[in-house]
Amino acid sequence: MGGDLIRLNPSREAIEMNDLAFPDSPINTVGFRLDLPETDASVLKDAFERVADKTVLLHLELMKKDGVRYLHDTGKPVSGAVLGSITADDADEEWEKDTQSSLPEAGWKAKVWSVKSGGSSLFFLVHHLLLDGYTCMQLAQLVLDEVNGVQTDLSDIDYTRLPEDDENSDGFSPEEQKNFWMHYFDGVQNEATVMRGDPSGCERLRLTYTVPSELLDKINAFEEEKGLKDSAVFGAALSLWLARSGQTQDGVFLMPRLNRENPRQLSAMDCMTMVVPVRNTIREEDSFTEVCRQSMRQAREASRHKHYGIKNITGDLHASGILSGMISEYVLNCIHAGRLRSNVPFSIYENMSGGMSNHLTIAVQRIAGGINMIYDARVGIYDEEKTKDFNDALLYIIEQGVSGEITVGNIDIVADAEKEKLLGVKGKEIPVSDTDSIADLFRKSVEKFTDRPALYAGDESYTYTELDKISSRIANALLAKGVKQGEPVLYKLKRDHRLIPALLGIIKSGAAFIPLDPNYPEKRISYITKDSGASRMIVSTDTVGSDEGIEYLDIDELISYEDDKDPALSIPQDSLAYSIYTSGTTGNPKGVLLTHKGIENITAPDNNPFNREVVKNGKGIVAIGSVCFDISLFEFFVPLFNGCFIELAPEDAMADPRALAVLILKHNANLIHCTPSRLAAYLREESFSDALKSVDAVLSAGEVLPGSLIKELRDVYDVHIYNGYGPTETTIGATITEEGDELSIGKPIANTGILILDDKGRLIPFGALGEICIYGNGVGLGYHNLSEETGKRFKEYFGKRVYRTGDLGRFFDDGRIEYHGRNDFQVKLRGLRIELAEIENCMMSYQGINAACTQVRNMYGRDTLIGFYTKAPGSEIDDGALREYMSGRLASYMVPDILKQIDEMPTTPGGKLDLKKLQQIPVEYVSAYRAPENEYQRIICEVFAKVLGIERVSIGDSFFEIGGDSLHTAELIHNLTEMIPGLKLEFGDIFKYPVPETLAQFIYRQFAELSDSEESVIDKLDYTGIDPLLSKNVLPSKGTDKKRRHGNILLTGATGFLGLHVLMELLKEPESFDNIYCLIRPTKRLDPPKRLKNLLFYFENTECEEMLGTRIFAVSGNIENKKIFDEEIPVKFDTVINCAADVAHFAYDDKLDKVNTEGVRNLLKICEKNEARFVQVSTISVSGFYKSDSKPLSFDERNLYVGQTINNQYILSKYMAEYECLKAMADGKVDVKIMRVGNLQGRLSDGEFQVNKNKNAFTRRLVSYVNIRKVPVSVYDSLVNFSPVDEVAHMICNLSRLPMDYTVFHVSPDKEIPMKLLFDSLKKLGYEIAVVPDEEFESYVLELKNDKEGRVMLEGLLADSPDTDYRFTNVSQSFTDGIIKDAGLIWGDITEGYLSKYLQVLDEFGIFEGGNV
Amino acid sequence: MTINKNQDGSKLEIALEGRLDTMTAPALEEEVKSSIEGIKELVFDLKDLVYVSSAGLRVLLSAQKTMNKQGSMTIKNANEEVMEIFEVTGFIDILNIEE
Repeated sequence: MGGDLIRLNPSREAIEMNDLAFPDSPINTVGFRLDLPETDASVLKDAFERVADKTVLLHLELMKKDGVRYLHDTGKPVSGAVLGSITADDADEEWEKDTQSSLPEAGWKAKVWSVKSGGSSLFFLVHHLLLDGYTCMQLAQLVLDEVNGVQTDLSDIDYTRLPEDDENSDGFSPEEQKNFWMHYFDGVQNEATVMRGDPSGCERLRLTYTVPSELLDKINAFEEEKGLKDSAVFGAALSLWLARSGQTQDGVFLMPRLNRENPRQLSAMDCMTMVVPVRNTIREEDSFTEVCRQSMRQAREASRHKHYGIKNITGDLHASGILSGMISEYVLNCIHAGRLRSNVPFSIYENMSGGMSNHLTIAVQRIAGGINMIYDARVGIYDEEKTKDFNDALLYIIEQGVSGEITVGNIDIVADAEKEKLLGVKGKEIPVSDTDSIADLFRKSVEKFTDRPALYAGDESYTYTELDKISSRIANALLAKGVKQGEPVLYKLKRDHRLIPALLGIIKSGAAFIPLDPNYPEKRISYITKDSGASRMIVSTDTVGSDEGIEYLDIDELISYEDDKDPALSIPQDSLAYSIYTSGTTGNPKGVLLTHKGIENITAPDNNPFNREVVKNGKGIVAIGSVCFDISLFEFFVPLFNGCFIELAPEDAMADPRALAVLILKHNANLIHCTPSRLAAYLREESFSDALKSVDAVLSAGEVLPGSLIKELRDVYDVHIYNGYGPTETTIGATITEEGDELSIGKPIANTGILILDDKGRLIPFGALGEICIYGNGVGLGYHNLSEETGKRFKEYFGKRVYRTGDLGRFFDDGRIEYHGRNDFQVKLRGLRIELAEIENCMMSYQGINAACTQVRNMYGRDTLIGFYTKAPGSEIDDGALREYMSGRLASYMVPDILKQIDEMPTTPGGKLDLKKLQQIPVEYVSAYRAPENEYQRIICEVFAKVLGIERVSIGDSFFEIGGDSLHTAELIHNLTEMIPGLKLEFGDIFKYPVPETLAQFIYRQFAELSDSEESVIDKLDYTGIDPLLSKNVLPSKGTDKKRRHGNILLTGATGFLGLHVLMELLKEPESFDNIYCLIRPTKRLDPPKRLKNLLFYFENTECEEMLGTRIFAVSGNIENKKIFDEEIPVKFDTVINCAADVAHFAYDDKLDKVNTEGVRNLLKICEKNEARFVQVSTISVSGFYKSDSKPLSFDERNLYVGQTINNQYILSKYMAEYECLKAMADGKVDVKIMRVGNLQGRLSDGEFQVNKNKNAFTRRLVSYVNIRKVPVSVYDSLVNFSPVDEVAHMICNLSRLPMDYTVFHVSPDKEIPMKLLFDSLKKLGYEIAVVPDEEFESYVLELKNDKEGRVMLEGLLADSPDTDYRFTNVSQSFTDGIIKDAGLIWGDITEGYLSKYLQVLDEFGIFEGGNV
Repeated sequence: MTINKNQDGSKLEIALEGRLDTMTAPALEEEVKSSIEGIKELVFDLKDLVYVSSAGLRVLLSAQKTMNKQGSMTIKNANEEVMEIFEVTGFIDILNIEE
């Protein structure tokens, strides 16, 4: 049987993919260690070798043919067992080492150890491509049988059956399969990726842990009692962990299945494993046992449909919009060492390594009575600590589940070490007094800073002492009026010098202040006034109101109170200090109740980096925050408690950069507070920009900081910016960034901690996305009179009083927090989970956009994403450009369907976005309706409408403008091809022709071309005479030594890349010809002789200059013309060498025909007249394609037409030229030689390449790979025809001198080169290109195709992508190879040195940088 | 080939005379490298340049690449031969050529 090539089955193909993605890693290694404590090593070695002799799988070697991997049966074991001696302790270490090292080329290795303490041990490790874990155990049994000297009990194993002919079927039709999987995943809600990270490569980490024996006993007892297997128990635990971590209803993971059902499969030694996804819906009230049972059922169901293949399953789910991206990043593999039989004692350890690019593969391995947990983790997502945490979590879940009846809702999913980390994200603990009230803090400040300026407001100003006195007057006046401790006192004042004294006065009196903005609508003021239960309101004469039951206190009257001595009351620190009303997302504002303690904490000098900056460098702050937002309190109290002044901005200055600039400079304030988007917009205002140069620090809040802003502030203005985050409920702030942190909202401030919890307040893994919850000194008292709401948001978790923010976030490893927007802003759009905040941030990062907000609306019966934005003054936004910008940064489904510019964002009185009003802004797809004018237009409009669920489509509507996305594109193509039989549409076509009008034209053109198909053209030609001619292209039994002279040569295309090199090669053998006449077209600049000389110089050839005009003549002409020559040439030609060609692959007119076919006819006539020989340079591509479902075609030097399809005008024109030549020869008119050349590339001597590098299809493909920095493994691993032009020219010159009988040559090097070499050389040039699995590459390409930028990058790949229905005809060139060898010629080696020179030339021409320098 | 350099503050003019090819390109490359620092305006006067080869063209392109970052580069007085090379190589659109 030796010599057979065995194709890889689908299981092996999947494994091969991993193998290529992780070269030189032990990733696909399986095997076992068999310890025989009472058996001699020599016995074991003999036993193994006997097994190896009869096991065909161990005779197979991996080999590659035509770029495809096969298994090849060598007829005997490809390796043997090595014998060694070892101590028992060393054996463990050695085994561990062995499993981590890569395999030899043979594909397996075996070692038999003589163990010093007695007995022996066999290590057998094998590539997963050869066999799977199941077959490992079959092999182990065979070895044991040999050792025991028994006939194998597995007598039904067919050792010799070659593992390629299995019918892979579950007995379901593809339709049934598809239906099953769609149903299986119907309504699924899962999170494929729990942990985010930054995996830079394909590096994997392998870790093994042992299940502790106590837990092991519990698991065994549980499984026994409930009749469950490991896969059910661990599957349930993993599902629970996934669902809880992702806060989704389902846990979905992948599971390798044995894929052996019938006796034949069970006995087969093979590699048959296939992977299926398993979905488990987690219901909190279910018992763990129930979830285990469900997991078992789900796995079984999935397994029954495994042959549909993970690729098809994923594809269908994507197409239907049920899922996007990976199904799951988690793989669970339960391995049983099986029950081996033996009379001699033994123990066995199985080695199983998963291996994909997924985040985590968990192998649960039963060995020697125990369980090993073997992890294979993707570096960058998981490290050792995270993997350990995961393992602990999984076992902890199981421990809780098997220790007694428990519902899964009550199971914790993080174990101790991780829990400690999760509870440990907190700011530093700094000492703060536990008695100081705000009044005490201010008093201490006054004592310290006495005459320093404390407040500037308009033309008024106060020193600390003055501010103290005036606020004391107010306090004493209030006390005189009977204000009681803790009583709420409202104030409604304009932003003038009386505002801050009023606030301090209320505090000093022991009461709590409630700010009201006089600009608030009357209704809102009344509501707050009434709701607060306050009976007093401080007003000025122009803000007084008429609310019932309110005693209005005039501020001027209070200020004129005589007693200016600080009442210095003792105010409990945890009593109410103030109340701020925040807008509830629904209904009325809520009064948040805060204490003195919170203010004390956040204003402490060492509380956070901004405060430290204030203490260190602070002079004064420009306060712009509305008093109704608590950030204003930060603006007031931090400076006041730290010796700085407040420059209080009046209302009209808050949104006016010029006024702010004036305020900054007025008293040299060096601190400001501003939101990032405002700041970015203000920077464009010159006076503000100038003023900012004297500012030292900016406090921002409320938005994520764009990195560009941080950089600009630092580099241009030398300003530090701190970004704070925190809700009103926890006293102003909870986290803050160190300077220059754009990704996160920073770390907790002092005496404050952050928890990330699920919706039930439970811990989720460190790094998983959850709700940001805050505990610590700042947490407020709750909501006024809203006990239910207070109970919902202020909770007791882990012994701490915690506020649930409703914001989403996740921890970075270092405890910084990544902000993910509001919980309630997360929406599901067409089955995809999207975060509106992310889209908005992207919009806002676009130059000129001031504010952005996205909404999902149901329009025309489908969910439509709308992006509203406002522009910065003076800027212009083009929706198209914005869309393109966003497409380059967001997943396609996240790019809004409609972009709508509005004048300003509607806001609520408190300044927050008014979502309700936004909802009312009308949007529509604007386009004037034009009715279809022809049949195709009618069909297309109809299908657009159907696919997008809209009523009417105009022929001018762009598919993508009216709501189409990539998901719909697939749907569209499907529908159109169904409606228009025979239509061929690619994804890219829709992007090229998104409008019914143009798409219809495209379809017309396609059918017009097809009806005049090339196939039929070349099929109908008359080949009589040609075939007998070609049949003479066989190697002579004896070498041929006859070489004819060229005589007078007419060389066409002499200024082309190949033509010039043919000329140079000819000149190397001046005795082979008389004269050479180069046919050259004059250009507008140069006549033919000058052109020739110039180009020879360009290609660094000066040696033949002296022959120009003596033996080499440039003659003016063009082969397209019947006469060819512009002037009469009185010469008789003996040889015509035609290197002229138009190499454009597509053209809209008949230009290609004219040059490439018609030109050849003209030349043939010249030859006939001159009795000259004709050498036609052609291309191997005339071999064409064949349909992938038909019989493969082969093509050699004895063929012209073998039934191939040619779908490219250029190649067709070259084919027709060959036909003309051979026909002329068959008719006895001309002696013809055809030189079919391959992929012409840079010359071997110095790498120099054709003048216009961008026009070469091969280099364009390379450029695309460089552009996207990725290459599919199949390409990386393939071979390519790479023909240095000087070598090819050399061969052409020699071959054209051979006898007349030989007519066709395949002139390309006898060896193809691995593409790998090119990529390795590119890497050395600094272009590192990642090798990725084909599937990943394809999906990446699909994604890139979505936007224009991406399509430009892909140009070289898209332009040349072959139709997937066709395969290249197999081409051989053994005749030419033989002739060349006979003639004593050798192809120069393509060395790495040459390739790097060649690539360097390309690089120096800038072609990897977009063809630019 | 002869290289004539003329520097005036941050403006550098290089006049080439003869043939610029693989033999002479390294010398030009060296000259450009040694004097390009701080140059804002680089002018190549090619009045007396007869021919340019691929290697020569690459030196000009590399100078252009550098100048893109720090200023501008102009090519003037190129003859028909050299212009023809700029044209067929496709660099006529990329180089700043005074005709």
